[in-house]
Amino acid sequence: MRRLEEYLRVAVAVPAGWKVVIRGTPNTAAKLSSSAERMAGQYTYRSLPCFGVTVHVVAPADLHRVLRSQEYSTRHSYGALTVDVVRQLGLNLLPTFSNTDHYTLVFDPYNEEQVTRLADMLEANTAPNPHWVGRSSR
Amino acid sequence: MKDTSQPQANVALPADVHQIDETGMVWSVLEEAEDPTRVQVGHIIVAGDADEPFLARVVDIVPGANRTHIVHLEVLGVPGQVIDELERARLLPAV
Repeated sequence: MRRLEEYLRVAVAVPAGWKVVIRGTPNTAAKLSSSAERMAGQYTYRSLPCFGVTVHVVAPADLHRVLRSQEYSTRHSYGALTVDVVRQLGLNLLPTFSNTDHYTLVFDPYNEEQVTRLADMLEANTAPNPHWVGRSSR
Repeated sequence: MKDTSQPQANVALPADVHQIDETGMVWSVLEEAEDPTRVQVGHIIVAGDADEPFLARVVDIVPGANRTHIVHLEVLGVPGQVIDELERARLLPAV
């Protein structure tokens, strides 16, 4: 197992109004769980399996830069929450790996209630991705 | 909006398109593949999930934790983009 602590960037204060962007819809609890469990199979955090999902944290002005990326452009829509909302859900937001927008949202504890709350919040805050590269008809 | 007329995709490798590691690439676990022989370095595969699959090139396969293998993917786009281009090139019949 790899320690996520080894991949933490120097923490910078994230303004509460910034958006947390996370994957395209549907943001179901099952999909969040699947990703979190894959992460936990490879990484630990504080000596325990790390149940976390990737998010990108960006200033509102940078939102479209992320949505245009090769990864996000495959998603026809996206869920976005402010940093303060995520914190109110009791989730840990860790700056991880080299991309400065990349964060790992850690479920601590990891349970169905926490995952479902996040999924519900994301589903309630979903918008079309104007940079989606898919087809609109057929 | 999203095309809902297509049948559900049978992806070669379940993956989360946002799950990126220190390489800057999307990663997943080879052992999650229904048929791991479909996932080979250099191959272009359909990854993700049945609802919103994406096209990716398998960049490498490296040892992971607990005897698993990590697959790194270069995201190429969505399957519809390739289908459109193949139709324009008359390599697929237009629908």
